[in-house]
Amino acid sequence: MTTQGPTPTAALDPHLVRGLHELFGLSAQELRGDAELEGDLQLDSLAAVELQVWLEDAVGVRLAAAKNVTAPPTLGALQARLDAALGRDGAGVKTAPKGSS
Amino acid sequence: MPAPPEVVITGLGAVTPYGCGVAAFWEGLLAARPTASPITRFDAADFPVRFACEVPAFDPFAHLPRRLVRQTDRFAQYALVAAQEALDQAGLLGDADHAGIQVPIAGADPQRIGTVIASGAGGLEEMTGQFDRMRTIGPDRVRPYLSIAMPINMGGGQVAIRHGLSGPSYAVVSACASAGDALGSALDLIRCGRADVVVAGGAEAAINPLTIAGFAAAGALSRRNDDPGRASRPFDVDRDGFVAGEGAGLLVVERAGHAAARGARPLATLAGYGVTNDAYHPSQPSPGGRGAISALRLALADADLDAGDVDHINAHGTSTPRNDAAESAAIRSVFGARTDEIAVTSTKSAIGHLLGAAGGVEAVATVEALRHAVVPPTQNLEERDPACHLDVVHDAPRTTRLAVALSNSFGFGGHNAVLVLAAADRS
Repeated sequence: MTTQGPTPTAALDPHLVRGLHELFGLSAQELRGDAELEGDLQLDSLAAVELQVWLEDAVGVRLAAAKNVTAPPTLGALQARLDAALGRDGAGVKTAPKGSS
Repeated sequence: MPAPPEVVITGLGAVTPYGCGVAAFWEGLLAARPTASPITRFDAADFPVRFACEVPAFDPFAHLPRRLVRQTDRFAQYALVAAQEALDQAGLLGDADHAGIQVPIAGADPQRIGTVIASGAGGLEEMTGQFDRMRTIGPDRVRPYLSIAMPINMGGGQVAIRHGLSGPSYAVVSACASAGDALGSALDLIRCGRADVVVAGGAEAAINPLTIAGFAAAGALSRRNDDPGRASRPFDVDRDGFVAGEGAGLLVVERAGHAAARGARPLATLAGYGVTNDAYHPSQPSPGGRGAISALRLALADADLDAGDVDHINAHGTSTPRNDAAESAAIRSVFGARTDEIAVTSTKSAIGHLLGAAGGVEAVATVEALRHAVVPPTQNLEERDPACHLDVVHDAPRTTRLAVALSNSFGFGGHNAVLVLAAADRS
């Protein structure tokens, strides 16, 4: 049981949903906020970073590092980091990738 | 010393400029359809060479799960598609859903099945693409999958992972001789008892700006931009260099006793292998082809055969002025008068030079020739160079009894690989 992130699929960012499909063939029906990247979605640490780099390209901002490094990362936690990077919850600072205007 | 165990071929797989599958490849060879056309992989407008032999309309998502496509360069995708075809023909695939990440082996011990899958350049598109990202937007923008998509061994590695093959597994690299040497390595692994089955051959996807620019600068590529379909013309007096190609050719190489025990029908026998280095020059063959001569003789001796036993040679035949002349001289030196009775063809006239995969697709073509007793024609042979004194099949396929064939592969760096293949029903 995790206390991180939203649970309904509808709350997942469309970039995240698209990335999970394009990179790993996961369909929207398989996605829940409390899904563990490794345990439930078979996305190992390499895949998680691959997804992060792809997301950062897609939204044009960098994600801050994950805060809670002991719990297995979940989709909801990734969603929260994405929200923070996009300033949607009022936290975090937008950092554009080097080279973009 | 006891004779080494007999080794046979039980499966073939190919992705070539004729498309996916051995059937498309063989049909294209017999019909002598040209495959060279303007490059689409990148914008070649400013390049001195603007054409190549590309695999047409390849959709990796039609063959492989998305997550596997994501972590592979095109060369490894070609290897995966060809491996599945070869293992399927060999009767070694289980009933698992072929769209799954893993498609396990059935009917053999996976610990006794290896992979030796060559490539000359490996994940070149991955490397150059990520290098561009690093240079333009920073080193922390390089994707982590570079580390698994780029390396040359990943054709074999991904095939082993997908099919659960836990036997000996590595890549062999000797430039344009790579896949020939991979097949020779497979023969050696089985003869010495390290494996019963080896998926072997090569995969290459090197139609890339850097490769084209580099080979063009070296004068190795044909510059017939206005007529690509007639550019690859091995042994012809007007040849001016090779045409780059891409794809994969893989063979299931198996100990004959192992095949017989599981009721698998051999397609051909892999009878021998000869391997040498010219020790002469990085990009030119030794005068008179002495390194090739030695490899030819060693291959025949390894197969316990004589020059008089050979009916067909699938030549290296790159369509470069130097190779075709040196190779012809080497063949005539070894076979003497018998040369006139050996039907020669160059697969490169049809599909270009597949570099690290050439030895693999050409071994597939040689096995098909033995099976069908037909030698495909060499395209674009309009006037044979007198320096290439060989009986080169052209204009039409030649139906003829074939018991023993050789496949030659020679690579930059002085590498020479010769394989001896024999018809399965040869008495």
